[in-house]
Amino acid sequence: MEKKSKKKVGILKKEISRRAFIKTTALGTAGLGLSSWLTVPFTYGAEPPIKIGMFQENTVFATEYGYWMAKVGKAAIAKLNAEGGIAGRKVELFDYDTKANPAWAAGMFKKMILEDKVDMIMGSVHSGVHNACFPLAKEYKIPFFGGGSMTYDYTGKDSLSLHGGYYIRCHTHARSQAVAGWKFGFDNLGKKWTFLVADYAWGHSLAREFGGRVVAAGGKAQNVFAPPTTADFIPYLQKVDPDTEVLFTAFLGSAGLGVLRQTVEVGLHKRLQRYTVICCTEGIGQEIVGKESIGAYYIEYHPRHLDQVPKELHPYEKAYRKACGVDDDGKEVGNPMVTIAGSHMYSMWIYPYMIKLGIEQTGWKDSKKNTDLIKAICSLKLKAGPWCPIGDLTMREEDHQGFSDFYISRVEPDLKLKVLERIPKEKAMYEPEVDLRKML
Amino acid sequence: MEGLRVKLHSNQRTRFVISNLTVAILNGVVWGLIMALIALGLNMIFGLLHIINMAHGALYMLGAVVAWYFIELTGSFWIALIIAPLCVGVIGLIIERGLIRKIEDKPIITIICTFGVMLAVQQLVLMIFGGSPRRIAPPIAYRFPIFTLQYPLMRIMIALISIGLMSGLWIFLRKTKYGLWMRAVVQDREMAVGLGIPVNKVYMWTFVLGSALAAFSGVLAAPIVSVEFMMGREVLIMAFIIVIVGGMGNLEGSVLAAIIISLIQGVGSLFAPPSVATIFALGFMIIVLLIRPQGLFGE
Amino acid sequence: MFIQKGRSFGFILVFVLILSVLFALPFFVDLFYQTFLTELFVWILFAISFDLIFGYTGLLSFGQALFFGLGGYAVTILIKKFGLSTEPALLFSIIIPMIFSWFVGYFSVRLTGIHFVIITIIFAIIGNIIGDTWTSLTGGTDGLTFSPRPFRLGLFQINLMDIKGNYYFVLAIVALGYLFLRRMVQSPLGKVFISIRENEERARLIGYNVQRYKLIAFVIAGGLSGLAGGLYSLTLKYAAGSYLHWSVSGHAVVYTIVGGMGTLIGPAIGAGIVLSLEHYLVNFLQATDLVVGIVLVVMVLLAPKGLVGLIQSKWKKGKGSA
Repeated sequence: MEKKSKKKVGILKKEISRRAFIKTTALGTAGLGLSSWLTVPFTYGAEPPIKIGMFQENTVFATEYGYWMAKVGKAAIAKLNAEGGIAGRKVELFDYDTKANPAWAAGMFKKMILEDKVDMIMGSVHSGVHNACFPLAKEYKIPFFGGGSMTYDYTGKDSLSLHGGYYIRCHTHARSQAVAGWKFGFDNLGKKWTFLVADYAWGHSLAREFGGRVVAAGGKAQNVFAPPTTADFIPYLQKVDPDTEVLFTAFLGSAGLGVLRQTVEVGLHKRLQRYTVICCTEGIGQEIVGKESIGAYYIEYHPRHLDQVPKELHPYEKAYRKACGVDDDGKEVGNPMVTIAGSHMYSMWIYPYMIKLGIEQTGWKDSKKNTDLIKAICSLKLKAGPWCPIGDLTMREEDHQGFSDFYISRVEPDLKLKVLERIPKEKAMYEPEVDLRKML
Repeated sequence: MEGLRVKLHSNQRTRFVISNLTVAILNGVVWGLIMALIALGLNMIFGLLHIINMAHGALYMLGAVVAWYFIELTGSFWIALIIAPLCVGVIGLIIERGLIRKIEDKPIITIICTFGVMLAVQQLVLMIFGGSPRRIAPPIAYRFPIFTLQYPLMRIMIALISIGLMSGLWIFLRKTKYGLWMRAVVQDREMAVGLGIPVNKVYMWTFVLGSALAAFSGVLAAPIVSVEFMMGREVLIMAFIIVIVGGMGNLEGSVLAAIIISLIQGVGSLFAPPSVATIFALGFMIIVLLIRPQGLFGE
Repeated sequence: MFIQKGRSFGFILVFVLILSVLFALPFFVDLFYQTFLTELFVWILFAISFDLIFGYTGLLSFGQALFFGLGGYAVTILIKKFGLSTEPALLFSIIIPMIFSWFVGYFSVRLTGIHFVIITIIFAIIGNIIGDTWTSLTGGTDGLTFSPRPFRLGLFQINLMDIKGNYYFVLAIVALGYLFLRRMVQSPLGKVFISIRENEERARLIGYNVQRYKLIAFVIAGGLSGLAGGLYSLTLKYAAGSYLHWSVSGHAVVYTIVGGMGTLIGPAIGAGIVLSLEHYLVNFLQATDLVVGIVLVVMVLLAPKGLVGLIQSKWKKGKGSA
């Protein structure tokens, strides 16, 4: 028992020193949130700080995402404050865990709004979390910036009924990935596809978006669903049609590793091409995925290796990596066991900047101008720069959806993800299914 | 000519189905043996001692995690396979002496207690080991061809180890003094005390053995399922179900239960969506429980 | 007779006191605490319904999440897809889980002990798989959101989209649920449940159809678990496949053991302690599960009869020494 209590203290110490910007939340429980204004030392004059709430998957599931999303978010806020904050006001970040549990996350969402009194919220890659929080964002009219949830519908035709336009998404999702990536696979890898995907919304949507386009172009699409936590893929791999040319897989975590490895173990890689999205092995080093992944094709949203990033972005990319503690190979500085979730974490870097631009453009002071703020942010056309190292990013007013470049990569014999083709963002665009311009 | 082409095609189709079925049955049996091995440790603790150890999945996970560290250190899978269970056995010892000993006569408290241990252990591993999965390379990478596919030899090897271990345990329980003591303690604890059997020691060593077995199966499964802090969660419930449906403390029963469940799922998913196949497997278990609550081979 | 009357008077006094405090709270605490308490009330209802079958009848079911989830989905699907208003939807959140618990219970109560536990878990797993994969109906792991209409009772109306309204609504229903259960466990029916828990053989020998009474307890608990699920969905305006996961059943088990089983008030206290702890820790740590796990172990070692049991034994000790 002593062993356990010793460890407990050590953890507390570690946790508090990491949370340098969350001084006041420790007092919050006692002071009921009122103390937040009084205890933060200002150097920016008498104006209250702008509060941004953030929650990520830090425990239970998808933690390889949460770790980086939280890290980059904190680094971005630090940089923002070092550069003078927003409109002369300091930015304060509140950071919580979703536990990959939508009901719990909704509680944290409410806590951030009602207790911490945040002005806007960002984060999470879990679709269920986003869905559960939509009614709250709509109710409290809080701008909600999605961290990385891949469900297309959230900026689709149901946007109004789901979140009323209070959801802003700068990153990719199943449809933009399909629109950007299906043709490369169709032209270069094969016309007969099998989708071996996780049997829930994310897997289904990828099969639908990619498969639909393949079939419309005259190809063939077969669906094989497997439970998201499948350990034994052989029963599903053997269902793959004998004449399939492209095996498209979509699983997360250890199942993602399992499917890639077992595809090779049963020898399928000899007669078909493997195609997948980087979401499956984000935050996992290719050396961990294993030599079996050599020759597999990935759709990335931002290259993992510095030398694969387009030359003109290098100055911005280097500074961004330095601020987040990442080296040139996409590993954490000082900790080569940890690999970045490079295709997802950039959203946390860009949002604070978009918020800054929006606030300074509209003269936003408090929640009364939230709709103007959202409108301004959703019409931004960002150019590559220190705050946008991924290249140009275009926000679309109609559906609050952002578009940036895609990359098709292949795993090389040295386990590096080599970029074969860069797909410009225009090729990833599709007709918006909703027009939120009149709503706000 | 057309007729011939159609006939060839349907031959190809039948061959496909036959090859699928063969692989499904082979894999069902092999995977069932692997699952039985995972359930084996629980069969010791739960089946024999009737202690509901919710931390079983965590011990399984710890086996894989500890093995990972040893492989990083020594580069040898086989060394890790021996050492990791020993380490986890020690952890099991600590849990038994520190916690279980105090509450073993209160099954409900044991559930909560071991549940708390599971939560704590998982979090600790998350903080130290990290959240992303890591891999242990399989010591044997050979695959032998079967119809149009290949089948990894590693799985066959694990299945054989599973059979070997279970036979060994069967011999241990039936033919050795210690095994006799264990069976006596399970049958009638008070009588065992009266006969002079060191009951407390028996409990303790059985728990340690169960923990070590859980870790052992974790190390063996790791090359297939990857090492991850939550890997015990999925395995936990399945292990309980296998032990009960097979008959508590009954080794042959749990092997049969594991294989049947695995076969239903594997062969079933050839013809139906995987969720339906799993539901069928679960339905089968409900029927077994209702018809033979003592399990397939229980007394 | 006098002591009985005195006891029930004491209970009424305490109950009314607590209820008045809870009623007055929204005027003193901020909205976040109101939503926190609302969720706590829902979990209390879930926990006390579990206490009925476990604490009073001796049936350890890890499958209550099935009925909780069914109640939640009944409300959600009926309102979202069929446009029902809140009152009938809430009624169905009791009825539909009761039907299912009758079905599950019919088979399960034939078994005892650990077999009963496992069979209830298996039913819950099946429910969870269906909830996660039948995406068109349940929204799968993403879940479904909806907006319930105000709850109407005659001329009286509560707006559930408003935190305060939601708070009173849930408080009223949970209070009624608690009174209902209390009445039940003190009635002759309750005594039969307790006798089954104490010694099933003897109850059977006296002449009670043990399986029938177990089924009755199981169905009532199922209905109340469903009601808790329905209230949960109405509060969050959301339902997901994860509501049916066996770990949700685990919550009820933990709250009941920590608080003290077979006391009704115990599970309520247990829920309060554990949930408050979790929410409090969020302000300091990411690793809340670690602390909760350790606290669980310590609590259960120090107070094996739950907190209520601990207090009761201290009380008795005090009386004894006096």
